[in-house]
Amino acid sequence: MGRNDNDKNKGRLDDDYQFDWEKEENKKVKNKRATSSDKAEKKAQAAKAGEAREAEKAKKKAQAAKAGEAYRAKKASRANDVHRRRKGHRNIETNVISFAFVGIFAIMIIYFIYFQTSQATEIAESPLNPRNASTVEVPDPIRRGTIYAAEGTVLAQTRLDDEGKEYRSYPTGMLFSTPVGMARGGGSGIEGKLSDDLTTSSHDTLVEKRSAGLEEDQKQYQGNSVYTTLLPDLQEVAYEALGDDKGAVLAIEPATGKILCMVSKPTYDPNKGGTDYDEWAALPDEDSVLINRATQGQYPPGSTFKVFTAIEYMKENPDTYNNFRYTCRGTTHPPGGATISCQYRTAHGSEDITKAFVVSCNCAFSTIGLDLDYQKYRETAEAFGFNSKLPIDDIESYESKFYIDSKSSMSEVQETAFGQGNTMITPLQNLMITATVANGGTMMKPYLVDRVEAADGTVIKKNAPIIHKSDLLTEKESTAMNELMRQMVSQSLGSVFRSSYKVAGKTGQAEFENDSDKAHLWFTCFAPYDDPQIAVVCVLEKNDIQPTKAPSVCRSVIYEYMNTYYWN
Amino acid sequence: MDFADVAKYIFIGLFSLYTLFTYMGSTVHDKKALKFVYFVQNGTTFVIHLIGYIVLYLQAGDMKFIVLYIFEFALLFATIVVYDLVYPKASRLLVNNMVLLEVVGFIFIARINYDEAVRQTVLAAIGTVITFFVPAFLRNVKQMRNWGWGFALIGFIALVIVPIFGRTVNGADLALRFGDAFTIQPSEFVKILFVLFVASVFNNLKSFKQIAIVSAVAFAHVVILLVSRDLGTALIFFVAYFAMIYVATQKVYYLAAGAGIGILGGFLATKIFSHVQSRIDGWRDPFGTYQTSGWQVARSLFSIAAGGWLGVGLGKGLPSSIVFIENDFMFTAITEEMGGIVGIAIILICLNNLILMMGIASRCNTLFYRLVAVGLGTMYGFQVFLTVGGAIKLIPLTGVTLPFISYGGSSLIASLIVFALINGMYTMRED
Repeated sequence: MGRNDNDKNKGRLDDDYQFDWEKEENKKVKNKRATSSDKAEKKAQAAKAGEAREAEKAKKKAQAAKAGEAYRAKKASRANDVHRRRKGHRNIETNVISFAFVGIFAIMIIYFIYFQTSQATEIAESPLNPRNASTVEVPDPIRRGTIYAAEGTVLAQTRLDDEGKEYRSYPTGMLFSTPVGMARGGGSGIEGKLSDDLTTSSHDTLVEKRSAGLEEDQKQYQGNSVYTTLLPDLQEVAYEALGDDKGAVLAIEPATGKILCMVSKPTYDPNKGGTDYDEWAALPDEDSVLINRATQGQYPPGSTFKVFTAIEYMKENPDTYNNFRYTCRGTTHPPGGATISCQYRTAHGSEDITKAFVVSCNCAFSTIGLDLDYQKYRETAEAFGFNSKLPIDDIESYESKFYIDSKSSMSEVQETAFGQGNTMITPLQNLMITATVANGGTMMKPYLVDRVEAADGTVIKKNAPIIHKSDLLTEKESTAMNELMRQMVSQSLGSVFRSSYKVAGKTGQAEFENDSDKAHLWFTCFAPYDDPQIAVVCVLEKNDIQPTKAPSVCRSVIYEYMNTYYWN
Repeated sequence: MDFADVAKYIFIGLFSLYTLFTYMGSTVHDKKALKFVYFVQNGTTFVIHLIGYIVLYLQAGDMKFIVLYIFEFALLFATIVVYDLVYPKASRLLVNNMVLLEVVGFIFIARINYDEAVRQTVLAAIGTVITFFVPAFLRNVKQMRNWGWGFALIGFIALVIVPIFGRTVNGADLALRFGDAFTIQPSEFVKILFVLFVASVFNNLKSFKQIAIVSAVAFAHVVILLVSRDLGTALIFFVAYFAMIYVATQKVYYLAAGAGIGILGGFLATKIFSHVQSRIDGWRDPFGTYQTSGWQVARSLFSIAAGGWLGVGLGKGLPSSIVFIENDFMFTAITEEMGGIVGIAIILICLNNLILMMGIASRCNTLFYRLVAVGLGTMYGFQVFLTVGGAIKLIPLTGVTLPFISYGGSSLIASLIVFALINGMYTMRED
């Protein structure tokens, strides 16, 4: 390349030189740059041979020689800068690139014009276009739209009373109050989050006119309807299963992120909002009926957090986690750390990772915690959603909190690893971790609203499943976690779940405020483990310690779902 | 009829005027006439900025828009003044275009998400201050042209870190995350390092073997980007590399080879990477694949169609119908609300930037600078083509940003650096 390159550039510069020489000769400009090669010199001499006198010839020769020398010197200096050109010479290659871009940009503009003139109108009319009816001038006022469950059950509806006055009716009362919320004030739940859609009319369907507050000739139009993903029978089963306990039950379809039921207790009857609201608002947090415990309740995760710690351990030891061995003596106190005890100080003996998970060994998991890279532990936690708002648009939610980082003390890490410490988790966050395991490592964005429809049934908005984060777990990790959770249920909860339902999960009993008799009871699970259809989480606040109580609540939901939707 | 309905006609007039003067700027050489061109350019830019924020303020009724406007105005005004005073030999046309595009970005990001607009403005300020030093740095650090392999090493490490430690952004491993608030997309900066690397090696090209080695390194960059699912950036590297090799060797057959490898590679990529195939499916029939890969393109087309030639008016469109609109679909947002005429004006202004950069490249007096200008210019032009072409369904969607306009600090700061580098090289031209 080097030789060729030099030869080529030499030739090129000579060409330049020739060009300049001729040009300058023609213009009879005093020659400073050019005339050096013998050929050129001869040519110049020949052209003037007849008339030129000797003295002039000699002068010219001398001049030419001088110029030639100057040129050679310049040429030598340019050997380092071969691409330098004289002023006025445009570089061919950059021009070619410019023209190429002018070409593709021209194609782009022509295509854009073609699109706007001959395709835009037709495309704009597509029923998929979210603007389709909303670009129609929407007259005011509009009757607030109806909210439906997945199967058409009316959850909220605006009606007229005997005097022709509008009121908001919630036919399902307390059953759906948590997800549906109230239209009161700024609104809560779906009533609040989708208020704009409910008060927009995308089709000019007239409604029976109310008498109060409207002019005689003023028309009133029906607002858009919201169809939720909630299954009414599942919601009812979950509501009943939770009984009189405080807490929450939440179920999701792992592959899509559809929320199937959402219950939080204690709750309220939205039909009584007009009279009782102030009373509800005055309740302290722990008795509040207005807090949605499923998405806003922040609890210590207890042993359900071992799911996450096991995930992190696998991520950091992808090839060796199966070699994990630990001998549990019921309590452990590493130098510099805190004393960690298993429940009832049970010595679990020799354990591998599966046994440590199944028996929920605090000593083993606190030891695993110390073995982790604290910073990565935090990064994984944040990748799974901790310390930031969860990706749910249709309802209010609070953050879950994970505090470990590279500066954390040993005791903090020990406690966090088995589910105590300062970690705070919402049932939704806990469920999303479980659903991600069930869904092979892909976290779906949870959603409650299936679609918004105009009064004539035209779909205005349709929520398709959206991948929130893919590849949170590798296939190997999700398979291994699935297996751990499956072993946990089959070895420890055989009395609760029939094996044909193929449930995988993890229990938890979160201590709070040093009350050793009571705990928040957790269970997070999915089924069937070989083809996950539903993931369920249940938390029961401040209960007596009973390892099967939360799993039993989840069982009702799973059985109902499987019997109704999976097997039939 | 409110102010936004009036403003849209003003915008069309101002953008048309700006575009006209921008192209005139390359044809006039008289100093007085040039000053007038600059005056009209800056004047229209600031009026667009002001009217945009008045519309936003009137719609939201919130003083915070005025506060943000004042801060942005100060930043942009300072940009022009500093270039004028410190680098009088810089290409003012390029600086003016940059400021106009920043204005468009500021208005639309503020319209979509105020908090993001605040972040964008802060990062623009940081980026602008950093880049004020770039031309001076170029002038004083001449040995930069010998640092080629250093650039390659840093860039390569930054690229490799992402698939390993990065978090996945919207299905693509694009970002490195530091704590809560701060994410970096290294590929935006690796673009610049890559160009510096290739230019440096080609500057002292001695054998065909060197071309082979550099090509292998370039190929490795492209493959890593494909594996990270950053299809758009992979294409940008690829195209820039072949433009640079063409300028360095002056042999047209390298362009032909590039096109051939591009077609073959594209075909293989659809077979190997499912994410590439799904982009193509979504492009071929966005409405048929609405439930899966086509909905982003379909919704972009709905928005552009809704805008028509005149636009629906700033603040009156439906940008919320498109996810990531402020990153990948800014062209769509602009055409929906300001209309197709303004859309074409933006395309023409971006093309003008490319032409200006190639003009600067041709006037660079060393091969190294010329290659850097060609590489960065080609990347810029091709990136505009990818994002606009993707939004209007001329080509499959690749998810790259529209420089200076899209939301995202890495993209913005990298674009500022690119323009500062090119201006730096321009100030070193011989007059």
